[in-house]
Amino acid sequence: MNLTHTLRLRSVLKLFAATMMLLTLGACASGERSRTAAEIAPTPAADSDSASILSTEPITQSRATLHVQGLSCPLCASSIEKPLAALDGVRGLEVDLSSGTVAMDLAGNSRPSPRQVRDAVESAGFTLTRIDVR
Amino acid sequence: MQPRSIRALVALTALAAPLAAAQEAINTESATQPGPGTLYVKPQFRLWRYAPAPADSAAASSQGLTKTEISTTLQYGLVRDWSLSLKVPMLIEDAATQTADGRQRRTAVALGRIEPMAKWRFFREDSGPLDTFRAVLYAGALLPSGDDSLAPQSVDPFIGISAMLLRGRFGITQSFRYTLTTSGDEWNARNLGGDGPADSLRFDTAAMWRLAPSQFSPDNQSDALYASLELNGLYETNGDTEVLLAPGLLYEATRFAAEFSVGIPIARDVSNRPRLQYQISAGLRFLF
Repeated sequence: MNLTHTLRLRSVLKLFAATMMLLTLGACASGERSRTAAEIAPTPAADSDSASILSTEPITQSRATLHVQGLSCPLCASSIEKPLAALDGVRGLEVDLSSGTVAMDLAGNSRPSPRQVRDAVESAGFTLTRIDVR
Repeated sequence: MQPRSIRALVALTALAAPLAAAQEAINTESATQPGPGTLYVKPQFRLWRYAPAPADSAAASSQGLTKTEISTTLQYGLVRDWSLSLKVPMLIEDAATQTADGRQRRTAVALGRIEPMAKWRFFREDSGPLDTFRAVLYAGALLPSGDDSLAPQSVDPFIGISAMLLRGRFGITQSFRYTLTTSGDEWNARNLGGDGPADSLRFDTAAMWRLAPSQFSPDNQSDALYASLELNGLYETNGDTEVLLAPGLLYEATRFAAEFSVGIPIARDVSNRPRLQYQISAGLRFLF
């Protein structure tokens, strides 16, 4: 690679660094971000409780609402279903992009713990922030 | 690259700044990947149209060339943060030349180079139901297909990095990919961009904006329509550089997506291969 080629490459890379910076500033300055479930519903509903996501005790309630971050898009969010469906006791899943929640129906004698649920969500590439159970 | 071209490109970039990007762009390697046990299948159609050679060039008989790639990519989530993919392309080349006997046309079909790749997500920060920042490293190789009529038969490893920032309706992806070419000069005359003996660096920036819905709601979240604007660049170590501006559309549902984009060169400094006139990309994505 001679000097002329190096200079061209530097120009191109500088251009793209500038592009990236402009687009990033554009995105951050937009002021718009998705509302979190905590902002939509600051506290668990009256008929539900929060379970510690680090707990290793099985969830005994029949319905758990997972508050998840990073769902991104409809196709992306669908990839959370398989790891959760593989957990013992999970009978149904419903992803809600608008609130960033996954409603999970549980049944049977073998149930997952919040920690197992958290690990499944993390393995799918998302972040679990809270579990409401009822 | 001429300074005027660079200034024009920066101006276009500034125009694109209000559009921000998300998810998986059409021509840019994304920082997304399927979860463990999940399979993405991506059939894709791509067409490149190259201009006739200049009358005073050594290849003056060339009257233009169209290269078509029909490929299928399988991407599988292995474990958390790791995925594997395999791309199998079929190439069709249609070339016209002017000879003493008149205009002649040649069409060739061949299996292109198979491309296995591993992707590792080394950083992820989720900050909202949709908002996230992710970065991946990826590496793979272009493997010989056994048919050297339309693609070199060398083993060319590559490595890349991609990062994605998503906020609400907006997102940005930036990707760099460096390919080490091990083929010799025998492929120099057939190079259409990245196939020659020179190493190559792909640099891509993608901006995507969700056109609809403006906000996901319980009754309106099963699909979405995105507009994309990409800058797709290719630099080869022989000095050739080309940057395409590629607007596109992406429709996405929960189990499949459809994409379409058109790329037009907006900055070019190419002297070792045919000049690209335009690029068309179309494809589908299925989630299993």
